[in-house]
Amino acid sequence: MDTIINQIINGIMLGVMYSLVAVGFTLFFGVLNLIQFSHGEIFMVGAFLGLIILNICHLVLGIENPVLLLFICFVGSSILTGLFGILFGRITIRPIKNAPPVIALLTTLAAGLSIRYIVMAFYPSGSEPQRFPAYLPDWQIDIGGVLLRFDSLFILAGGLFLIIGTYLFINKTKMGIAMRAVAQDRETAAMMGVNIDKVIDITFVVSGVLAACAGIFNGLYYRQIIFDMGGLYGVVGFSAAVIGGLGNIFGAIVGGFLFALLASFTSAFIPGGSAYRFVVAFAFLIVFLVIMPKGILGRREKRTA
Amino acid sequence: MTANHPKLFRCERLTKNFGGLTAVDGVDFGVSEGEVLGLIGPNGAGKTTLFNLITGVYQPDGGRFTIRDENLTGLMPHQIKKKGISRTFQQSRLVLGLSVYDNLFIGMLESFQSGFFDTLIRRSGFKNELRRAIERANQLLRQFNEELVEKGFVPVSDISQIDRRRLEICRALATEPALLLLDEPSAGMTPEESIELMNDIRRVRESYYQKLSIILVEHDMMVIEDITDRVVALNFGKKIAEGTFEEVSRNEELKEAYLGK
Amino acid sequence: MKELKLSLQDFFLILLCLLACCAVFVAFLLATNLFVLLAIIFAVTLAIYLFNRVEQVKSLITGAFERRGKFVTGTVIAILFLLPFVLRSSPYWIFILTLALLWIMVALGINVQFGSAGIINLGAAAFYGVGAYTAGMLATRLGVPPLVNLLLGAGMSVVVGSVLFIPVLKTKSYYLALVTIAFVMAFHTLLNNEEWLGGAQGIVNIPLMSIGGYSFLREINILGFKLPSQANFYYLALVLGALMVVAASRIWNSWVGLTWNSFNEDTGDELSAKCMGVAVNKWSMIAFTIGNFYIGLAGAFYAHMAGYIAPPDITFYQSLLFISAVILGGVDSILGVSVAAVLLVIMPEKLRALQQYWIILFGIILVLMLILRRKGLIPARIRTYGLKISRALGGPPER
Repeated sequence: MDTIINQIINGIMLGVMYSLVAVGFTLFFGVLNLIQFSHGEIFMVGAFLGLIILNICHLVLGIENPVLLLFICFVGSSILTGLFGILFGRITIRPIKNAPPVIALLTTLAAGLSIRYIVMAFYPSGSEPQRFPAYLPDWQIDIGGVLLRFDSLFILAGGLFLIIGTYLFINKTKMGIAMRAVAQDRETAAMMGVNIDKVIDITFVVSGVLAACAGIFNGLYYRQIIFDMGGLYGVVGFSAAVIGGLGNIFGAIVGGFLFALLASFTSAFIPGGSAYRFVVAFAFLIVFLVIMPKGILGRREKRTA
Repeated sequence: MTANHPKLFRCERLTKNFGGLTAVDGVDFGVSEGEVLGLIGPNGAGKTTLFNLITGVYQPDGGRFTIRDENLTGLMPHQIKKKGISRTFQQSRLVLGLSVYDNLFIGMLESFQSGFFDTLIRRSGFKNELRRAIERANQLLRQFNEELVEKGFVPVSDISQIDRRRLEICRALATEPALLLLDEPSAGMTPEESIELMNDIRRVRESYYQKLSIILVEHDMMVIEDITDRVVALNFGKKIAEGTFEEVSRNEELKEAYLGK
Repeated sequence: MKELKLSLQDFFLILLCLLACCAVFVAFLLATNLFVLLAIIFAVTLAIYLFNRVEQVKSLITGAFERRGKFVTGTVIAILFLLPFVLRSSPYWIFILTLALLWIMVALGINVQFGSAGIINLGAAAFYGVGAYTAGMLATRLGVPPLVNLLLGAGMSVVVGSVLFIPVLKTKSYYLALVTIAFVMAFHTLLNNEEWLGGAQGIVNIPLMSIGGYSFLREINILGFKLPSQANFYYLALVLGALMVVAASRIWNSWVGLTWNSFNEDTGDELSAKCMGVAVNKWSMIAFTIGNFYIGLAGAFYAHMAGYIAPPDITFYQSLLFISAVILGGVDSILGVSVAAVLLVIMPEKLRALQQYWIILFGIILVLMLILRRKGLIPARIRTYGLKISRALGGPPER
């Protein structure tokens, strides 16, 4: 019973992180009809920027307070990753914004590869795993015999906060409405005066913030990050978004959790399953795509004349 | 004039729903051999959906359609092509990167006999078929315009809009259909080009394809009056009028649909 | 008399060009100084640029190549045959050239799938792996002769590929991309963890290629020259590769190639192809199968050349390298993808000094190509089915 609960918790943690990345994928597809395959690398960049900020604040500026450190880390990395996203978008996405999604997939795939190895090459001992400082307290709460770590709750709460924030942004702000307009019908939105290039920027910022936070969560939870952590997350994020229905934010969250729980349960309950957890998850993905290509909650239908 | 001849093509109570919207609602009509039928109606009346239904692109939710009394309902597009229905599209669906000949050959692919053996090993069989194909392609192009023959190996992206329309019709004709569906062939053309194209279509039909039946979707009423033998009018997916152009143009509901109350 | 003069001029130009290319190529292979290498790359790029700009030179040379097709083929074959002679003191480069030939085979396979038919297969490395592992296992466990293994490996690749038929037919573009990525990643994990597949070590001690009793480990003595044993693999790969290029070329220049182009998702139109009677599903599966056959055969050959095959060779990154041969070289262009395949093998070898920066450079080049020149280095030409078309008849223009 214990193990099951622990596996569920583990799965939920993973689910939060997968979901945050998946939402980014789904936003790109929903709003811009593109597959941004290097989103996993944005996740990685967010984590590394977070690490750099933490190290600078702690070692150079001498800040000791963990709350302050984490705050600066999250906010700082979010801002920088958002800016990085804008730059990335302007260089790689704007030129191909009208091309078929496959071209964007390949272009961003290649770009992601470059980013990954740039980090490996230029970050000191980039090919090694980097120790991520543990600023979250080690508290454990005992609920009915189950130990809940503080960092699990923190990540869960953080993820929730980010999702709610994204929802509010998309539905209540002017930029968010612009995004939804472009998602529904790009041509008409453009004719109504929406600046498509700006929407590209905003999409990168929003998904960048989500990915950066997911990256830092990842670092805090596993206590280490590595230059190729974006590879798996990219594929998983894409898969989760597809399962939930590309373009559907809630679907991406469902997909993320589904994927995480599938992987965790395989790991826990099938002997020797740990190595196979992704084989199972991917097999599930392939079968799923054949049976329900529109995803669980339905894909956004792009209007074709 | 041809109203009493046995019908080549019939559709009965054809219906198609999309979610809550009924795009085509119980449409009935027939086309005789050699007849040109105009299909008119305001935008959104269901004309293209009807075309998609009778070419197997969509499956109907009700009703049926037949060619020479053979039921074609439920068949896939490539099967329907074999039964003798061919079409052009509102937006050009030629392959821009391929040559004029290649696009025409796409319409003839089904009739080719060369298999992998002829392709890989005994090339002479393939070469003979190729020569016959080019002759046939030239013959088709010549019916429209002698100049097109010289552009056989030119990529379609390099030829004019009106030539592309001609080519698209040629491609449909290459499949040797009994019934040809033309979906707004003059869309996007200047009035002069439109007249030119319609004259071409009429001339080609009268010279070479007297037995070919055509369903023509057009917005230009002068063209409809000029070329068609009969007219069917749709509005909101329903047939609201059928008859000669004079008869149909007097229909009140149709006038309202086009011009408002 | 004028005819003769034109012929001689053509032959001379062709020989000059091909020999010059060959000389530069060999010089590039053998140079060790990084600056020399970069200088060669720069010079070649400049030459290509000037070639494209100076119309007279361009039309003169392309005209010669087009008119004397048979002579060109003959000269190219002769040059390829003589390469090991020129490189006989550098057996490593003969090995690399053989690897390049294998990559050409893979690129041809992917070109059929993606270039012609528009089926994106980012799991190509898995099919390469199936070919290699099948050959390796059959050879080490059952003692099947290597030559037979080539066919069996290719065949197995086709069989495994049929598992993906339904996704190929039912899922479009980016969904299929995801499916194939998931496939290769899952396959990689399977290879790493299953003991009967060799686990993390892979299959080792695979007997090297041999035909009948002739072992490929022997040196060759021809015409008084002693060629290293690597030349054996090279010549076999050359023969196989030539056959595959001819086959691929003939298929492209026929109704089959046209059929695939007609429903290609990116450049063709599936809906109108269907309405014109094309059985899209059937031909999609055929394209996928032929592609996997090519890829599997190359994999099987590799197993018998390297003597081992292990999971690190079968990754998503490897798939990306394979498919980039098509993207960089020229979509649906046999010449283009072949040239790109060779470059993709040679460049990382020569630019070893750049180490991990090579991948960064590769990624950037790929991005630039996709944004700026999506048709690739040597784009596909208009199909003329092997007929000699005079320019006056609206013949194939420069692309």
